[in-house]
Amino acid sequence: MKKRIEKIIPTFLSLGTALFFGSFLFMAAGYNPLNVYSEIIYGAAGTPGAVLNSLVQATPLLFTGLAFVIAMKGGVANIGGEGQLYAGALGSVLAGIYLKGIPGYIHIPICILAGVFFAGCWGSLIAVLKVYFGAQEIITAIMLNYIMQYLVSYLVNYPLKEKGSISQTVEIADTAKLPLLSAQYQLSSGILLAVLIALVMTFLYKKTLTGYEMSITGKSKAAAKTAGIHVDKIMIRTMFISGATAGLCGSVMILGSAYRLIDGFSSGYGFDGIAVASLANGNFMGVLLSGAFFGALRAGAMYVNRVAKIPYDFAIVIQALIIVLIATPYIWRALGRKMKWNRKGEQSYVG
Amino acid sequence: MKGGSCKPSGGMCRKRAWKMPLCGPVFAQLGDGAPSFHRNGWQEGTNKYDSIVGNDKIGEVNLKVEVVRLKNITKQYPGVLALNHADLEIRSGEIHALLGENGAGKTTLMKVLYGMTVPDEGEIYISQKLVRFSSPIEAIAAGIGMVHQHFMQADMLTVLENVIAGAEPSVRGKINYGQARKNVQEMIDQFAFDIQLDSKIEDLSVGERQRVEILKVLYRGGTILIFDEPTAVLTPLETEAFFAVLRKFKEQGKSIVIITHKLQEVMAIADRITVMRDGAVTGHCQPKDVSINDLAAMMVKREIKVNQHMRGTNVSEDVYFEVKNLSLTAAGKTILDHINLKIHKGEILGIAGVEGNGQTELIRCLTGLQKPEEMELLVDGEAVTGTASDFISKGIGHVPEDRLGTAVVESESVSTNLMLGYHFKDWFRRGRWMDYKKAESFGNDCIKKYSIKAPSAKTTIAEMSGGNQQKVVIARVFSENPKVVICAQPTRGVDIGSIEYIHQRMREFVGTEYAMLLISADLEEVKAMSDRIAVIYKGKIVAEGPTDEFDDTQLGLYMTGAKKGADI
Repeated sequence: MKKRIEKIIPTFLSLGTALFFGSFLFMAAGYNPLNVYSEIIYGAAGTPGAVLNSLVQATPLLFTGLAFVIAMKGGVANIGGEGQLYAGALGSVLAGIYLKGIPGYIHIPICILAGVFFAGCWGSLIAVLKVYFGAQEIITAIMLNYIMQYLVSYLVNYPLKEKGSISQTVEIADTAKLPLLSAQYQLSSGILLAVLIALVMTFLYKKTLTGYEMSITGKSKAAAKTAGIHVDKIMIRTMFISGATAGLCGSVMILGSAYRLIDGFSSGYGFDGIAVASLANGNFMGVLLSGAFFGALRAGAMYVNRVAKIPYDFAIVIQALIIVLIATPYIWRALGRKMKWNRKGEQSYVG
Repeated sequence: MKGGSCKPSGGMCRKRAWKMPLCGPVFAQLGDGAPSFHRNGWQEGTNKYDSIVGNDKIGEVNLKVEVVRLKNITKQYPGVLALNHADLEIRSGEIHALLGENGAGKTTLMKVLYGMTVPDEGEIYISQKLVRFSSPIEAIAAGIGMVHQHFMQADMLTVLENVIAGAEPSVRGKINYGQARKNVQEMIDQFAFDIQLDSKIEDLSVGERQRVEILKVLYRGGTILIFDEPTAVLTPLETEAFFAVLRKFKEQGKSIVIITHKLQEVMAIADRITVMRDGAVTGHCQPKDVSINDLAAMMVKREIKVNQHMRGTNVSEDVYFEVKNLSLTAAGKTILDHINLKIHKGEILGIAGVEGNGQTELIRCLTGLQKPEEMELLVDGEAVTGTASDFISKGIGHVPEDRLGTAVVESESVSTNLMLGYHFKDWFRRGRWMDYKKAESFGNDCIKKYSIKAPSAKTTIAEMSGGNQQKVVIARVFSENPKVVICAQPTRGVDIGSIEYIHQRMREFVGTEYAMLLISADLEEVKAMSDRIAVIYKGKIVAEGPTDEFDDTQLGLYMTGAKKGADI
């Protein structure tokens, strides 16, 4: 039990420190931080509507956060979430528009699978390039992000464009739309898929042989190879799952709320996923909590923006602070060591 | 106030190293770096190296004064008392050997001195002044340098870059590579280290990397040098050269601490010896007053014979393991040249040879980790091909030579590590699913059966000493009853008591049913354990025969290629 608590402390320390520094920003902008924070909390969880809104905001983040953690645990850094989510969106929207006359309970799974498969392949491309050409995954991920984003943008502006002035596709068929959990707040049932993925991945790692191999590969590729594990295959498989999960972000956004692919619909969810993952302690269920937190933060910021005209950007700044401060625990530990040792009469070698 | 001169030798500089705090951890990773201008009166821009060779600006150094005193050091880890009121005193101008069994606390004690571990109790005195180290940076500033057993080098950088990292000679921010090259090359030449300054670390052999690690310490001109198992990877010739270097340091008044388990070397080079057992110091002595077996007895509290010969009884006529025509080339060079080996049931075949003559590649080919141009491999008459996993399934066990890199996953528990390579087997599963509880009880069994010093199967490998880690590896391999074990450097970085234990288990395992290929840089080990020896030189087997038919001179000649056996 002590070990578990010890593991969570870094998370709370970073959070606390970020909020602490955030309050200085609020003060600098002329707001009372305590007021602002309490209003944010109200806007995030004060009413049932607020809670639903938080979940709506959290939905895309859960998927991209999971995607990053999945890749990380398998030994690959996947920063291609943005491209993968567009791939998923594209796959799903095509299936949603061009397949007609199928009942909902078949259409929806097909749309989801189309998105997932396309995004999975796009994601595993990163691993394939690494395995066969030694290409560094950070670089290829960024490049592939651009490729997919521009491809989708082109398609949405030309061949798939709906008549009119907005760069978007036509609406998907009614049978492709994901049922809503809350009509008033537009909370899609897609969020349940995120929970499902977190559960499935936890199960995979705890109970399956593949899970063991992925875990070892993620911790030491050399030891994994010596143990006869097919490290290359594992990495490609991991990236497929990771890409597919990021793709689900796009799919759920399309099939669950927008119902059409709008050019540039992602405000950087792929990268937000990394922030979510950083607070999750490498734990799948932790991503759910972390994503919910970030969603709440955004919902609160939206509320505060509506009511008190405080810029929404603050939420993004706090998110950035959390990422930057994720290193805080190490600073505490180093300081702690220093403080324990500085007593009178002894010499310190570093002034 | 950068660049000002500090008080000479007696006082310690209190100025903040300009590289702290952000760069500190980074450089501590790359090497034991600390700027030169904060120590012993050197001016900024001077290369510390000047004080080792050539102009000595050390000032008055009283020989044989107490330089380091560790008093009453105690350290408790969960379930293990690592240090138990340990005392140690080191004088200037001496070579002090720190001897002890696996887990005795020698490395932990030195980590305390080096600032890597903070003791629960006890004091450290440097030149009779009480100090506290909360990190290696502070220890380095006090003149302490450590050559680690497990190297801390940046693979992608060159030898030169690794050696000077963190202590580059620079003028106004621009690194003076010319001078750096000159100085480091002088050191290499003087000690005949035979390394190219521009080679990348990743291309060097283990022995060469060790030499780079030693260069780093030499370069930083520490006055108190700690060596953790320094000769574990050096050949006999290199060891002699290393000792010559140590003697030079001694003349200059430096203090040297060697953590080692090699009793012969301790007798040869040490001025004083401190023996530890179970975290406490059990004796201080001098080589002239004791014998090797006395030392061993002090280390393990029982009668112990070092490297006693263990021959197989009843080696059968049947060839159990056969390699034919193993050949491997890479980048135009021949790495392995038509190697033929035969091992009989109940036999241990030892491969003797200086490191870097193809042993690593031989191991990789025989365990399926690398595909050679040509190879025919038969185990108990059956051909073995395929992937590493296939080799394991066909009964080839592997004790890897690089323990921390490839044999274990440091951050994982004993039970997880016991599954590596065999994780698909039934006894770790319940039906189709993995059963980690079963793995844990298997782990607890192994801990008992193999005398592993760990509180439970959940203990992380990183918390265990080298010898105990190695016991986990052999527990893993031997428990699966492989037909043949390819055993590489089984007792590297392992202490006397554990060495004896591991050797016994090795011979026990082979018994009359199985076979083993032993590859070791420790010639004494090869001679003690093997029934037959094959000598490898530049990828070719140049001699082969029963161990007892070789004498040391012959072996030495074969190993250095000076002599070739007839019709091999």
